[in-house]
Formats: sequence, C-alpha cells, structure tokens
Amino acid sequence: MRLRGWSLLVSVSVAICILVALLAIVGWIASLHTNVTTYSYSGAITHVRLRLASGDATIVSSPSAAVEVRRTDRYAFGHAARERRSFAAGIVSVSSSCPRIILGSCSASYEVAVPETATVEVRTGDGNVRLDGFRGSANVRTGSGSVAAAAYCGFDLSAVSGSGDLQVATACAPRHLLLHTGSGNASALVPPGRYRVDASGARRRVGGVTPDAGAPFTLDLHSGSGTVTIGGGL
Amino acid sequence: MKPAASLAGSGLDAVALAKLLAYLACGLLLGGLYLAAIVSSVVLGALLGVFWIGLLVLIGSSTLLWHCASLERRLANVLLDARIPVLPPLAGVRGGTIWQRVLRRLRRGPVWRGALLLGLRLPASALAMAAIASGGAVTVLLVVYGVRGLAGSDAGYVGPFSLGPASGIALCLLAAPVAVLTVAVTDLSRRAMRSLARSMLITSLAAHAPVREALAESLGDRTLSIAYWLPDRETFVDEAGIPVPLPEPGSDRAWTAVDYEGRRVAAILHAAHLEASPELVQAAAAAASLALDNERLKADLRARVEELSASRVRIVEASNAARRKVERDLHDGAQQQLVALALELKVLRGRVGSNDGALQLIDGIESKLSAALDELRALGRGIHPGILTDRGLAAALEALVTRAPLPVAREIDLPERPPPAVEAVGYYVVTEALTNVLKYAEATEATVRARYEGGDVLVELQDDGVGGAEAGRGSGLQGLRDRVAALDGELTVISPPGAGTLVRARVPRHPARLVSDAGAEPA
Repeated sequence: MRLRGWSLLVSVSVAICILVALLAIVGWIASLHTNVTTYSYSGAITHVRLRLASGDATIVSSPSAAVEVRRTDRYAFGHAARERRSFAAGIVSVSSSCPRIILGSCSASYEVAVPETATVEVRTGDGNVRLDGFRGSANVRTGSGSVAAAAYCGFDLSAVSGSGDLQVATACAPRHLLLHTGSGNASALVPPGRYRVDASGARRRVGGVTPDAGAPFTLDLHSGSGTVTIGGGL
Repeated sequence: MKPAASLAGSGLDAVALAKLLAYLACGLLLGGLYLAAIVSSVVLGALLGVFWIGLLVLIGSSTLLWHCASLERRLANVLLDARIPVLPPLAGVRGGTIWQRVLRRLRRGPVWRGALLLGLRLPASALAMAAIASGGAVTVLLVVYGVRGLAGSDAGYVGPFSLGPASGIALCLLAAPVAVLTVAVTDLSRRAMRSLARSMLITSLAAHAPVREALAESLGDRTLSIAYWLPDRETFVDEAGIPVPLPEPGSDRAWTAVDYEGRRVAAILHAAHLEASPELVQAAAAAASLALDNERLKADLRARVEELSASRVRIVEASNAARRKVERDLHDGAQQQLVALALELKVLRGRVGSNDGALQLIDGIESKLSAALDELRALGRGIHPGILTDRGLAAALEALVTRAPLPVAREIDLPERPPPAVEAVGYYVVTEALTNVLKYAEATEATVRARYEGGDVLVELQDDGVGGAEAGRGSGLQGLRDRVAALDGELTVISPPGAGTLVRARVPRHPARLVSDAGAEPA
C-alpha cells in the first residue's frame, strides 16, 4: 500500500511540475516584449560611458557631433531593465540593469553612435561588445562577454575580459592596442609593419608583423589559457 | 525497511542513496578510463591489424576489459545490490593460429556485452548524475528563494510576481513536488543502472554457467548442489539423472525446497550453516525456480535415458542367461538321454544276435539317433555354445570356423577374456555374419579377426563375396546392431556391391553400464 501511495505521490508531483512549467512557459511567451527607444545628446562631448549589467553594446562612429543612442529592451512579465543616464561636463553616462529575476527574462542592448573626437568606456557583464568602424579611443571591460572590433581606426583600444574572446581587426595601425583575457582567445589583425609586440598565452601565433622594440605602435596581447594570435593583413 | 530511514517510502534509503552516488562517481572516473581503453584498443588493433601484433593487442585488451567487467560486477553487487554471479572465464587463447585465437575471443557474446557495458558506463552515469544533481539543485534553489521571499530580505521577481511572503510560500510549496520528483528520478536511475549492469553481465552468463553456479555464488556456498524432483518416480536426482539422497536432519548439510507454481521442482543442498539467512536462501530459490524447473526437465530426460539404457542391458543379459540355460538343459537333459539311448541300442544289438531284419532296424535307428544328436549339438552351439562359457571367445570362434563349409582364415589375438556379455555379443556377430556369408555372399573364402584395440574389443568377419549387404534387409544385422549398441558399442557394415562384405563390431572392453548395473547379476 505504501508503494502505491508513493506512486500516487510521484504522479501528482509530476503533474504539478508539468503544470507549473507549462504555465511559466505560456506566461513567458505571452508577455514577451521588445521595445526600441532612441535618444541623442549633442554638445561638446568628450567621453561616453556605458555600464550595462545585462545586454550587448555596439559602438559605431557618429557622422555628426552628437551621441545617438538606440536602446532595445527585451523582457517578459513586464519587468524591463531600468536605465540611468546623465550628461554633464562633456561626459555622457548611461547605465542600465535588470531587476533581480528568478523566473523570466530581461535584457537591454545598446547601439551607440559616438563622434570620433570622444573616447568611449564600456563595461558589461555577460554582454558582448562590438565596435564597427569606430574611429575614437575605446576602453572595454567585460565579464564573460566577447569583444569584437572591425575596421577599427583609432589611437588606443583597450579590451579586457574575464573569459570572453577578443577579436580586433584594425584598418590603420593603432598606437596602443591592449587585449587581455583570462580564458578566452585574443587575436589582432593589423596592417603589416613594425610593432612593439608583447604577446603571451597558452598558445601563441605571431606572423605578418615585424616585432621591433623601438616601434611607435604597441600590440599588447595576453591570454591566461587561450590562444593569442597576431596577424598582419590588408 | 524502516520508514524513518527511507525517503518517503520510495524504497531508497540514505545508505542506498550514498551507495548510488558512489556508484555514479565511480562511473564518471572509471567510465572515462574504460572508454579510453576501448577506443585505444580498437584503434591500435585496427592500425596494427596488418601486423600480427595488432591481434595480440586485441587479445590483451579483451583480457583487460574482462577484468574491468569483473570489477564492474563487484561494484554493482556492493553498491547497487545487483547480485550478479561471477563471470565465466574467458575463452583460452592457446592453440591454433593467431587469427583463430582472436576470433575465438571475439566471437564470444559476453565479451561484446561486457565491452558495451563499459562503454555505456560513463554516459549513463553522467546522465543519471546530471538528472539527480539538477533535480537537487532546483529543489535547493526553490527553498532558498522561498525562504528569502518569506524573510523579505531580497527584492526580485518570480514571473509576474514580486518576491515576497506570498510567492515565497508558493516557491517553498513547489519545492515539495520537485523534491519528490528528484527522489523518484534517483530511484529510477538506481534501477536503471542496476538493470543495465545485470542485463550486460548476467544474461551473458546464463548460457554458460548453470543455475548451480549462480546459486553457489549468491549464497556463498561453493559446495552447494541441486537435486531435481521427479514426481512420477518420487525421487530426487542430480543433473545426470542419478538418484540423490537428501541430507538427514542434524548432519552438516541441509536442503531447501524449491517450488514453482505450487509444484515441487528441486531441492537446494547446501551447508547447514550458511552465512546467508534462510530468507535469502528462500528468495534465491524463488528467483531460480523457473530456471530450475527447466533444468529439472532435462534431468528427468537424462534419468529416463539412463533407465532405458540400463533396462536394455538387462534385457540383453537376461536373454544371454536364458540361452545359456536352454543350452545347459539341452546338454544335460535331452542330449544325455539320447546318448543313454544310443548305449542301450548297442546293448540291444548284442542281445539280438543274428536276426538280420532286427540288425538292419537297429542300424537305421542308430544312424537316425546320431543325426538327432548332431542336430541337438548344433542347436546348442547356435543358442549358446558351452565352449564360449567354458573356454572363452577365442576358442569358441576357432571351433565355429573349423566347422564352417568354406575356408576361413583366423586372426584372433585375445590374450585375456573380455566380460561374458562382450564375449557373447562378439560370438553372435561372427555367427550371424557367417550365416549371411553362407546364405547370400557366394564367397570363396573369409577371414575372422578378433583383437583388442585401445579400450575396445574388435571383432570382424570379412568375405570376398558379392557384397551389397544392407542392414535393413531382414532383422539379422539390425538385431546385431541393437545387441552391440546395448553395450555402448557400434556395428559397422561395409559392403560395396561386388567387393565383399566387412562386418565389424567394436565394443568397449568394460562397458560402463555393465559394470554399474548388469555386472552384479550372476553370469
């Protein structure tokens, strides 16, 4: 009789778990929302600071002197990310974070057009960061997100990640390129030439550039357990 | 099982849970090694297969894997209570070419099943471990967030609701069915792992190890034996069908009855003081009852075969004895009376004097009497010649062929006498064959041979006649065949048309049944 009672208990438990899971999934799909918000700042902007707790960031060059922000919110059950933004002393500062969510989803991704005279500072947790044809100096830090830069043409680019991959292709020789990652791979594709090279990782492939301690351009790549690759192309 | 120790009556107590987790952990550690061993031996064997050293690798790795399977058997027995009997030893690798050795090894199903189990060990353990761990993790998370919600120490959202006392209570309540589910999954994976191990290691065994081995292993008594019950004879017999007495109460042996569907099937004979409890013996007996019932049927059949063989020997012996008796009776009775009659006739001739008519009559009677005596002697020889009983097969065959109406060569070499039953069979084979030669073969000469060859007595008659004899024609050869077979011997007839006939009987010098059953009867 006890075994029968136990079977009954298991059956009821299975039913409850399935019911709750179904309810959660249906509620989640039904309440899934995507919002796009755009705003911009204009004036004498010298620095743009992004702090994103959950969400990706894409930085592009702004054709004008204005900073244009396009925010995409994705959330369920009506709990969107909260954003704080300010503009003072030439510094645009945007930070967003999702509320603590035990069941549900929330993210806020940003696409920001920054004038090339301004510097950019981006901090994300697990969000990925992209720089598309950006021409200013940038400082990026991520937790587990990856950093990818294409056709970068600025002075200084510094990207540090805990476990994400760092992949940078520059259109012109950067004055100082720093890519540090803990367990991800770091790779830099730069125009051929002489560079001061400081590369270390579990595996290291350097080619296409001429290492020269006196060169004006520095490539500083480091990976804790990943592969470090430097290639000269274009 | 104590309800307090078991997890909500699922049959899974804390010790069993700990053992299961240990089994799975072993699977994660050892399973990787097994997989590596299997893959590397297959790869090495395939790469080096061109050279014979690759085959050596295969033989070595199959031995290694077999040891791993033995280890798995122990792990499953200790940690999952799987009760898997010892694995049968691997096929030997001595003898034959290297290819034959490898094939002999790899053709064995148990090797493949054992390797399959070893290969599945890691994925199965990982799957079970992941299922149990994720269930446990969800339960713990639900409780943790539920308590936080109740305490109000944390802000957050559970779906559309904010985390507070109400949703905290809901989370805690939800943790209960998830916990039940986790226990059920744990119990299920325990059963699944156990049946995986059993199906891979036990069924492979059934065809090779008899039930006795399995019972001896599970009850820990190497001397254990099984007696099968034959209901129509109301006796217990062993595997060979030989009756077995049950141990007396108070001796150092004891027996446990095995019943199947209400019928007595067998008895397990074991040491009086087993380490296993009587309940375990009963459980093992119940588990083995079906297999034992099958074995019982085989034993029944063997017992019947044994009985039939013995009764056939008895019939042959009885008929031999009857023939000897008839011959003795003829010799001592009718023959003696006729001899006495002949003597009296001689006396009568003396008394009659010179009566020619009477003398003629007496002559006629004398010649008829002597013909009758000859016929009677011939009859006696045909039934069972006294010379066979008195002086043995060699002398009887000599006497037989001397009287034959065609030249028969003798190649007889029997330095010592075989048992009477064997002698009788040899004599009748030659008599019957010789009769056939005279009747059908149109032979000009024949050869009789008798000698020992190995442990057998070989008796044969060869002629140069027309051949073409068939065992089926008439009952003569078939009767011989039956008599020879009764003594575990065999009769060969080689008779190509036109090339003579060879009749050969080969009988064990000391037939086993004769020794055990019929040998005790008076000759």
